[in-house]
This record gives sequence, structure tokens and C-alpha cells, in this order.
Amino acid sequence: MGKLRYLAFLILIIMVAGCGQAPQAPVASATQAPEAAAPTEAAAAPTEAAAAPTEAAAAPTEAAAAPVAGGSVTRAITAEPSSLDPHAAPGSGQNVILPYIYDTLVYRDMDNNSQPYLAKSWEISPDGTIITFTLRDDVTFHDGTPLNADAVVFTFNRFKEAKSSAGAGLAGMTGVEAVDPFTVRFTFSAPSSVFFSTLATPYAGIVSPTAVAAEGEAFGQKPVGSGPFKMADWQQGTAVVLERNPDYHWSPANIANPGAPYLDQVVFKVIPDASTQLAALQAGEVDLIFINSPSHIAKLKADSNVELIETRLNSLIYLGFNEAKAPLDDVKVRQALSHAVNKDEILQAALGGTGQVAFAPMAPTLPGFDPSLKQYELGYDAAKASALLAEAGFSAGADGMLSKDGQPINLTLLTYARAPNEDVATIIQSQLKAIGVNVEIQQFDTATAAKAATAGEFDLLLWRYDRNDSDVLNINLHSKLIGSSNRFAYSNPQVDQLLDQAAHEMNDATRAGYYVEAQKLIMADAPWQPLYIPVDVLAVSKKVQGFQLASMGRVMLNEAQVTAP
Amino acid sequence: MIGYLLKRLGSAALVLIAVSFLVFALLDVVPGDVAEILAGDAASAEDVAALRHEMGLDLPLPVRYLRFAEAAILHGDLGKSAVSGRPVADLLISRFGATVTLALASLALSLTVGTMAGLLAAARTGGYLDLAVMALTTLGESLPSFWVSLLLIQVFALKLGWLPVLGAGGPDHLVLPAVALALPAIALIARLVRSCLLDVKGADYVRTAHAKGLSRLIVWRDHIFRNGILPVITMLGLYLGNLLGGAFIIESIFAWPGLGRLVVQAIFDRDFPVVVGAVLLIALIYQLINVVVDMAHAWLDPRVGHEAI
Repeated sequence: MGKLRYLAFLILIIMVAGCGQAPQAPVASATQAPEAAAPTEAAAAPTEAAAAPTEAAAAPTEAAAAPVAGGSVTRAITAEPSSLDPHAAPGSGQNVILPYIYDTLVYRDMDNNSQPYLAKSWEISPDGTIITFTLRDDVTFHDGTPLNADAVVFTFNRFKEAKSSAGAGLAGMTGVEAVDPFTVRFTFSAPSSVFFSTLATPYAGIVSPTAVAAEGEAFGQKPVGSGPFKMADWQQGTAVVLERNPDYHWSPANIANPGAPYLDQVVFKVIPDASTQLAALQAGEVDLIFINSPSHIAKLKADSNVELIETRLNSLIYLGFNEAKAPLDDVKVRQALSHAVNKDEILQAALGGTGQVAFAPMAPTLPGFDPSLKQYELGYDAAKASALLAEAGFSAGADGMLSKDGQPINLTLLTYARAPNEDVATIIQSQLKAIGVNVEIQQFDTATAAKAATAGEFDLLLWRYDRNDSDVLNINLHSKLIGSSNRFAYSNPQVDQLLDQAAHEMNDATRAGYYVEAQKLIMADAPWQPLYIPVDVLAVSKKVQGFQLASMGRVMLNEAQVTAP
Repeated sequence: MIGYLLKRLGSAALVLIAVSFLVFALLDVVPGDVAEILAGDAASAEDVAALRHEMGLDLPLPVRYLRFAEAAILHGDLGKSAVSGRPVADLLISRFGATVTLALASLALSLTVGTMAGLLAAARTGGYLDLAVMALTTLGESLPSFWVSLLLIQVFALKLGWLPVLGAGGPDHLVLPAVALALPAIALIARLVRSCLLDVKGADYVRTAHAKGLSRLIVWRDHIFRNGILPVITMLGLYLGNLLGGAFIIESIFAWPGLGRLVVQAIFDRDFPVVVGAVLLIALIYQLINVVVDMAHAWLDPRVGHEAI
């Protein structure tokens, strides 16, 4: 049945997309479109383009002179958002635009700490189950409605009821109430450490209750928040145009300009194809794009009109092992395969030397990462890999391929179609072949691959997470989630206990400690071989000055100005 | 004539029903559904099941199909997008104009350039001009459209700076995508026109016309061209459907806000109401074009009409 389903999918794609065009067409579409479809855990994980630059916010040029008002900045997005209602299901494109329209109670600084934004301050009760926020009293929505405690209560009740996957962090929330016009109290059944990172996502943007009541279902097309820019025009299939909010004067502490943005407009142009985005930037039709292809980066390095800024993401690419399947139920086999993977070679060959080798399951930008975990890494060591496989009962045949009890070892590697997964998978295939393990690669579109992954239809899984909270390990490796988001059938009671403690720990340092301990155990059990941390490069036309990078890859345009090229 | 038209429209309706059921059935076996995508990777199996129930996705295929057919046929309602909640009809209308504009521009371009090239080649069979046209058309047919598109952007938008990269906007934005989409059609039409005209060129009545002492122009215009062009009309009709429904790659590369991109994105999102609606719209257009082509045949070649009536 499985094979039949994939075949049906293929037929459908060819029927609809191919329609007698050049035979190359469906292939090209398969590699382009999933990029737009926000793959992997982006849907579950509320990160904005999942990017988190590690370097401190670096405006390319400090604007010393008086700010130039007016002008417009155009940014390319790969997919048109289906809705700009923050509580609608997270899809492609919207998380890039939401932060310009909506403000949140708190924001995350570059070290992933929560900082005041619409909330001036907050207090956590000693048992961690009551959190009280004091709001700014001078904020209004784009429609003139005052942003007060009632609006916040309305927003969070709506967010929770929407059952959006981005609202999973509100699971433990039992109530939210207005104590006085500018004080809001959240109550929880148990302390929830993921609550604050949820608050900082664009999906927790505060919406105007008046506008929601007035627009009803059309609110997603006519969004009203309190952000620095407001909705001006939505040209279906082409562009979303925002205009400056002249009343804005409540920017958070990481922005020097306390007042309204200098720009008149920010335009988001829908450009699905990465090569076209590049051409449009070089032709001056857009000012700002994100790129991740090594060849595109090299091309832009030669362009003197473009500034390149590297951003590191809250993301990890890993190779996961399905412990429900023999021989991967044997820890020695998992360790052996981990030792057989040469990550430096992957980075050089598939990523043109960009990115950074990963050794721990936690991305380096997330709390709970610790450089000392490097000592537990199952690094590249082909001899050790072969020795471990021999211990596990495998012996090499005349052709050099391993087998046990007459059974050769044949593994399926599952991944989704997004550059450079295919290259990475092929390199892993050749690296494992070198120690006598045969690997067959299966690559599907994101939704199909995710379905197969959750159903456990793989031995090796080349996958990626994008998430702004350390609970990414709870989601992927807690044994209570086997069968849904723990796709690896990984189970270790000690790890479960540490992950549970971390989930309910409100002290950041203590919580990070639990994650470090959990990772030591995880790294020895080897359900994952962490491969690399991807890098996205922000390419900006030099005529745009004074923009800032914030955490989660946000490009803040509150201070941006456009100068003559 | 009217009876023939009604008969054709009736069979078009049957085809649409068959297409809609086929698409429904195909979508049913595609792995993954919109509930899984909306619920996200971190969702439990129960959450997904609850969402699926809420959206009516857990009903058996025939029930879902009949509900859809009832709403579509009785109320003209194609349902709502499972992802954005917007009416499918609105989404289709918002993209249809762009698709038609691009298709008609390419059609006009391929018709004029393709016919001219085919005519010249046929008039100079075996000559250098003929050879050149044949070589260029072979090239035009075999180059992949995404590569041609990127080449056009590199040359005309970046190197020369004559035209904009992106599709949507003023008329100058239409040029590159229209050319990219038209190239294979130009090649196809040129070859077809050439071979059709060559067939007719050797016919007895053409020789008779020449023998009667008619001028070369009149022989070519009234005898060769008029008779030779019939198969081209048929092919054009089919190809127009192709231009409307199969421009996804071009739409993607030039960021053209057309129907193809909408459908493919909907497939990746498993937004089935949008997929069904769009496929039906494209099927409807094919059917209508076929009817128009048949009518055109009847008009150009009276034999067709008499037989049918």
C-alpha cells in the first residue's frame, strides 16, 4: 500500500504540474516547492525563519546623520502566507511578516533570554504556577483600540482555543485574567518552562479585539496589531505591502529608535524560486533576501552592491536511527554508524564549507547547549565503527559488505526534498558503504516524508529541527511521544525524568543543567548523530542602511533607511 | 449546429464529473493530509485524529465526494481552503486573470512567430532558411523551460537591463515569462505549419491552381494556407489548455501569480479543496477549448459540420 500511495502522489504532481511541459519540470518543482512549505518542525516550532544569529546585532553602517524619512524596502519571501492572523495554523511565509504587524509581551535577546516588550515587567509565583505581567499603558492598536489587559486576555484565550500547533506551549495554561486595566495574570496547572519562549514567537502577537470582532474570518486578510508597520495592501499571489505606523513609540530595548519607523513601506514580494530571488536582488527589484545555496553566496560575494551577513539558526540537521528496527535496536550498531559518518566531509562536499559541525543534540544557540559535551561526541573513526559492528556480530563477505547470520545489512535512509539533503544523503550513503553497510535513499516531498517518518518507515532519518526552545529534545526524544513526534522509538527512563524536570523548571540555569545531563545520556545511547548547524545568509542591498538582526532571524526595520545607491 | 453544440457541452459535463471523482480518489491515496500538516510535528496522534474529525476528513471517500458534488452542483460552492479558510472560488478567481493573461500573450506570440517561421520554411523547402528554422525549432523544443527562463533573466534583465526579472507588474513584466512559455509552442507550431503546408503544397488541386495561372500569392493564401492550417487549429486548441494549466515552472521562476503555483502549493500543503477546484477549472477550460476548436473546424471545413449535424 505504501508504494502505491507514493505512486499516486507522483501521478498527481505530474498531472497537475507537469502537463506536458519539458520532462525536467516536475523534478525542478520538487526541489523548489518544499522550501516554501516550511519543512520539518517549523510548523510545530514557532521560530521565525528559524534563524537565530549568534553575533550581536550588527547594523552594517551606523547612520550618524539625521535619519532620512521615507522610502520603501522590499523583501523576498518564498511563499505567500495563507493568513496573517497570528493564531491561524503556522504555514509558510507568515512568520516572516507577523513580527512587523504585531508586538508581543516579551522578546528574546541574542542569548535567548526574555526581555520586556509590551510587558514592562513580570513576576513568577514561588511555585511557578502564577505569572503576572504589568503592561505598558501607552500602546494602541492600528485601529486606535487601546492595548490593555482585556486585549491580552482576549488574545491568549483566542490563541489557546485556536489549537494552533504554535500554541502547544500554552498546554499547561489553565487561565488568563485581567487583574486591573494593565495587569494580566496567567495561571498554570504546573510550572511550564516553554511558556516564555512561546510568548516571544510572532504567533503570540497581541491582536485587536475590536478588529477581530469586526472582520471575523477576514481578519487573516486584514490583520490589526500594534507593531511598527500596518497592513496596507495585499496583492494576491504577488506581494504584501505594509506601511509605517506613525503612532509607534513602544519599541523594545534592543532598538535605538523609540519612535515610528523611518520607512514609508515594507513590501514582501512572493518569489518562490531561489535563483529568481538572487536575480531580483541583483537587478535591484528586491532589497533583502535570505540565501543558503553555496553557489549563490559565492556569486553575491563578488557583487559590490550587496552586503552579506551570516546568521546562525536555532536549527540542527541530524541523522536519526529507528530503534524499533533491527539491527538499529542494538546500541553498538547505532554507535558504529555514528562513528562512520564524517561530518567535515559533508560540510565540505555538500555545503561548500558553510555551516558548522554539530556534536550535541542541542543547537548551540539554545540554552542547554554546552561546549563540554564535545567529549561525548561519537566522532569520525572508521576503525572503531568496524570494530563495534564486529562486536555486534557482523562480518564482512567477499565483497566487503557486512552481514550477520547470512543476512546482509541494508538500510533505508529517508529524507525530504530540500537542498542540500540529497547531497548530504548521498555522502552518508558512500561513507557507510565504506564500512560495508548498504544504504538506499528515499527522498519525498515534505508532507509525504513526514508521514513516512512518523509511521516509522525508515532505518535512518536525515532530518532537521527549527525551534527556539530547548524543549525540542522533549518533543523528539521523550518516550511518551513514541509513535508521534519521537520517531526514533528512543526510550531511556533517566532521560525522560530529566526532560520532565526541565519542562517544569522555571529557573533558566537549573533547567539548562537538566538538558546538559540529558544530552550526556542521549549521546551515549546514540538515537541521533548530530550532523551540522545550517547557516542562512542575509543578502541586503547596500542602499538599505540601519537595519538590525534580532534573535530568531528577525530583520528589524524600525531604524532602516533607504539611501540613493 | 446548435444540437451539435449541446451534445458537446453535455459530454463536457460528464467529463468534469469523471475528472472530479478521479482527483478525489487520487488525493485520497496520497500519503499525508492537511490535518497532519496543520497539527504540526509535535502533535499527538489523538490531536491529529480530533482535527481530522473536525474537518470531516475521517468520512469515507464516497460520502466526502457526494457532499462536495452536492455543494458544487446545486449551490456552485467549491468549498473553502483547508489551510486559509478562504473560499476556493475566490482563490481561483484571484489567480485566474494572471494565468489567462500569460497564456494569451504566449499564444499570440507563438501563433505569429511560429506561423511565419513555418510559412517561410515551407516556401523555401531545403533552403538555408528552412534548415535554420528546423534547427532552431529542434532546439526550442528540447531546451528545458526552467533553464531557458533563467537564461532569459540573466541576459535581458541582468546583463542588458532591458526588462524586469519579476513577472507581476506592468506590461514590460509580461515579456520574459511570455517568451519563455511561448518558445516550445513557437517551435511546435513552426514545424507543424511547415509539414502541413508541405503536404498541401504537393496536392493535385494546388498544381491545378498553378496551372490555371493564378499568382503565387493567391495560390499560397487561398489554397495552400487555408487548407493546410486546419491541423494547426486543432493543435493550438490543445496547446492553449497546456499554456493555461502547465505553466507552473514558468510561474514559479518569474514569480507570476498564476493558477499553476496555487495548485502546486496546495498539493504540498495537502489543501485538497483548492486542488480539486483548480483541477476542475483547468478541466473545464480544456473542455471549452475543445468545443471551440470543433466549432472552428466546422466553420473552416464545412465537411465537419455536415457530418456532425
